Amino acid sequence: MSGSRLAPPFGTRIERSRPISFLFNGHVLAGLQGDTLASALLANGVRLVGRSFKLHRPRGIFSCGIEEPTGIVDLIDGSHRTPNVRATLAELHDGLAAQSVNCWPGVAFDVGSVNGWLAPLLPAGFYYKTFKWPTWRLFEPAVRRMAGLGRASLAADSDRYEEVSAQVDVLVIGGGIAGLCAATAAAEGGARTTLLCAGPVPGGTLGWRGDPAIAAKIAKAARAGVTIMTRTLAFGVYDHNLVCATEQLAGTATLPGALRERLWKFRARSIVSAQGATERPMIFPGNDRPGVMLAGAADKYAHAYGVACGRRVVIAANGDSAYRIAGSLRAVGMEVLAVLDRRPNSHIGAHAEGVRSLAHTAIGRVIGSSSVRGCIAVAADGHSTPPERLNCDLILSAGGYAPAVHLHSQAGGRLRWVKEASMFVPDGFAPGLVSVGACAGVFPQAIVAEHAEEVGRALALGFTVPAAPVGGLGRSLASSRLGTARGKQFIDLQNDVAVSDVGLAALENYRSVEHLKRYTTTGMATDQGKTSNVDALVLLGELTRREPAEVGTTKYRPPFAPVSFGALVGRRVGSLYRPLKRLAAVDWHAARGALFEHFGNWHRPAAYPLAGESLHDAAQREARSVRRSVGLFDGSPLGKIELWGPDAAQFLDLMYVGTMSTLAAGQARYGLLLNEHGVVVDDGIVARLGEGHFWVNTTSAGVERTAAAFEEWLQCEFTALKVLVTPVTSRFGNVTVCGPKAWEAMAAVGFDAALAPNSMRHMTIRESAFGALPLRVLRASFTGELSYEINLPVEQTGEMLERLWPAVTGRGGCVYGIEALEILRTEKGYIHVGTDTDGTTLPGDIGFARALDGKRANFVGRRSLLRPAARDPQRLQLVALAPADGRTLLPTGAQVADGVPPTRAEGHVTSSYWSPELEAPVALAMLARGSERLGARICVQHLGRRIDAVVVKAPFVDPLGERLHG
Amino acid sequence: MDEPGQSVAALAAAGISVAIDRSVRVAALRYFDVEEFSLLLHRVLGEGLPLVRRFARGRCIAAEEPFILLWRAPTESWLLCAAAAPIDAVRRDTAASHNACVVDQTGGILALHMSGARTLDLLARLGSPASIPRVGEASSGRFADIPATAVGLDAGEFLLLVERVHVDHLLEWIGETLTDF
Repeated sequence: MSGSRLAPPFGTRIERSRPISFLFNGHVLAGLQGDTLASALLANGVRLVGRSFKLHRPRGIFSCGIEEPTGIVDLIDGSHRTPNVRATLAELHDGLAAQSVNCWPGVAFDVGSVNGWLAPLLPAGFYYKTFKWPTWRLFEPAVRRMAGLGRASLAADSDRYEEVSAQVDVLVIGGGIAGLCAATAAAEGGARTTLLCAGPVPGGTLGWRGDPAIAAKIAKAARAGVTIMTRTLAFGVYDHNLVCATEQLAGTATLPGALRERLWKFRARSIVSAQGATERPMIFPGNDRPGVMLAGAADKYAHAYGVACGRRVVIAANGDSAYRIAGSLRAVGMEVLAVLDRRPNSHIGAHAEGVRSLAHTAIGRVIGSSSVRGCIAVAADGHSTPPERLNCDLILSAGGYAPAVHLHSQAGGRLRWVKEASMFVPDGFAPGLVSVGACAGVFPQAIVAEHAEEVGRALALGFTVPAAPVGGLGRSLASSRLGTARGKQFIDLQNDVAVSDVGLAALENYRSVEHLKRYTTTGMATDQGKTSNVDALVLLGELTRREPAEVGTTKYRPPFAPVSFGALVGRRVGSLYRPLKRLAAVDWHAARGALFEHFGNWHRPAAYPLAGESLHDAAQREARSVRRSVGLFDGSPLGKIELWGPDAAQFLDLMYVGTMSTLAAGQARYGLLLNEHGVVVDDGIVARLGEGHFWVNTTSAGVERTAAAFEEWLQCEFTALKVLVTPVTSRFGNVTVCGPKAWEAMAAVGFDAALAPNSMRHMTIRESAFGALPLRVLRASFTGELSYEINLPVEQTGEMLERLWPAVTGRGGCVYGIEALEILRTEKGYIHVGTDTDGTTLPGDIGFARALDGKRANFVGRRSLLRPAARDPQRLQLVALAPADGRTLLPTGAQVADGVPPTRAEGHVTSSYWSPELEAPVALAMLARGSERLGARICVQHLGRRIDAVVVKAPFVDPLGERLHG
Repeated sequence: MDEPGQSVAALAAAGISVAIDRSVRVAALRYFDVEEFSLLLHRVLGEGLPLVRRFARGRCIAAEEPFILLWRAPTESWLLCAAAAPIDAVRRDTAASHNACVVDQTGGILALHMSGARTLDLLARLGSPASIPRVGEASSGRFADIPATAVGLDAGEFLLLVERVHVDHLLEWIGETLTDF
């Protein structure tokens, strides 16, 4: 194939007056504005573009669009490297640099091409059978290095991406004649209509052919109010008519840091798919050589880009379209040596003037290794006529068409096999989606336009949508392979899957096309088998004596085409990676030297290290200070929910393990929240503010799911209960004053004397005031010390901290963070749901067996706790651990086991800290039969290290709980 | 001190301005019987409960203070006002009620005022179409990955009601988006 530019008028897409310079494998080449990388390479006579995935066979440009299986390159632009770009879609711009993939040291001489010689040893699924001794891992690195496509960049992507939502009445996908007609009719019918066109200009085949009628169609669509979006590819149809599409914004040039892609999320009342059809390749030996390409692609390169992909052309045909293309190529000046039609004469319904046509003939061999230098024409039956050499430099494949049924299938539509034209077409409509044009199996232009207009009008006006008048392709054979030929006949060019591989799969009794795909890899990777799927399933059917309709297709799943991670991520990078909740008093904490970390989606202080102090040392100092004096803590993230209604008490009894209805106003009680499986999902304190009014504290990370669970149970199960659930976490700040001198500090700044420990008992709540500031003060403790949780209007949190600060520091106290809190609660043996528990932990596992037995009323999860598994004596149970030597910290997450794997683990360490109070390590663990093993010696294994430990009684500090009361 | 959004420079680009309206007070009105509570509101505020996904503007009968009453859910509406009087008035009249209660969310829910010809374009980059209200509507959904309630005050003028803890995230997202306008 020796490409060259054709003289005008050919080249509707290019601007000859605007030359462009670009790099391919380090060589400077010239192209024109409007070129794709593929058209520019072909115009420069570049035949060898890359190497194949497995066998490293030489590969060139095969198509002219999204279906491209072989013309894959990496684009390099400064620090950017975009892997696996289809050269057929890459718009050329000045400075574009492309590199071949999967080859070393270069595409012309590739060491990996040795795989071609080893091909008999590398059939489908070879890695399931070979390279097993002594171990697959020995070979895996080399095998993986030899296979693959492009290389991803290791540098951060400096480009920007965004996500946009839109709502339309009719969304038309495809900018060809069918799409334009449907969109125009819909818009004229009054529907808000958007048309998505994957390419830089709408018009489809008629457009690049320069048909003047198409300009009028585009103008008419614009006049009708159709919003036409170019460079926008719909890649998925999801539930409720959600269509996702990517819009390429950089277009012809890329500026670092520029907005590069936009992810569109359309909600459409109706979707029209007008994505056209993909040409099916012919199957013959050597059909992967550079210089073999789809016939329609060569036609498009000639007319749209003014590129003759070769001078002497042979067309391997299995459809009437070959003759139209033969005529079209002759018209641009290319010599068509012959059309080798695989079909018998009786099937052929067209001819090309001045072109030699041989029926029942196929290509028996391709001459040339890295480019086509000729071919051998043979009789399809292998013997009726003698072989003939044809000295061509371009072989075109015209094997019929495969309608693009992907979106129809994604939307839930079924397919049917049209035997005459050997294609799958939509079987009726998919929910919310109608196909028009070639993707519906409708090919004659006039019928396409008429049907599409009727569809557009019907969708706009709510009429019955007309069925697609499928037809217009003539007759094609289902299979074009040569049964007797020697040499590899490729089905899937991208994955190096040949007829022999499908044959092997059939021999090994793979009958499902889904299994065939996984076993042979046909239809995988960047092209998702757009040119191979139908051939593969037809062949499987042939080999297993089934019709293609019986074999069926693989499930078409989104995305229709590769989507960049950047587009999916959108703005969610850096600090916007996920929404973090911010404390109202963040500035106050920052001014006190807070070291912020992320806890349960909150950005909050882990500790407040002094100069030169580590996080560990700071936490130790803070915990010590709380035990000995007083600590100030911002507990604002603590989940807060108000429950109101006459049945609130009854509802809380149903939701919590504890009984809340017996609480008097002003009393509070700890509660465990279970799901319906009896698993502990949250805990907290319920306080009664009034007869039907409760204040519920949840864990900081659990408030949304707890509120949602409350709502779900109220709306779905306990529908007779009158309860209103209102989350108020954001409304209330929480300043916790904790330690033996807590009340002393509070009294010093003027808190109401009624809050003193001798008048306000542990586990009570008071509505109080601090000056004009309304407060809800709860006496509850997660540290084991005298503790006041002061809930106040959130905007006053910083002020309150500031007011208490001198009173706290004046008593030797300090502000403390999450790390100190974890130490303090571990010293007391208090659980932290999610740290000490997991998705299997039942209340009995953490010491709540008596509470369960003592509650007669029903509650969520109760029935699950009656299952035998819930009463299994081998269950993991919460215990306290101390190292046998009294000094070695037990690593959190370490396994409790007598030996290293495969010895079965008996449990694991869940929380472990150095106790500043005891000056020794303290730990909590989940241990099999833990409640029976007090005093037992156990082994903790961690990264090959063994640590002896003893099961001890919790709490480690203040076992009688006297400090709670001040 | 402690006011969200302080670290973000004035958000204004392409004719769009976004600012936290710190004067807005928010109260969640919760009720079981819609009709009964609507009558109460009508008596107190001169305006009954809004229809689904709608909001109503009015002036409190007692205090002549303007307010917005917006639908949130079948048992919840929000009362927005600059002065405490409308909220206090409703709270007073529901104090003895077994049908309804008032939960003051002032300070916990903040109002972002957005205006400008391209505000809809901005909202389309924050949330899904179903959550973007038309004029006269109030709808809840996710904006910039966080839950929020949007109020379509006028053409090109919206309120976005969002939990205080999320405001910084939302403003940063909006700032990033406006950079590309």
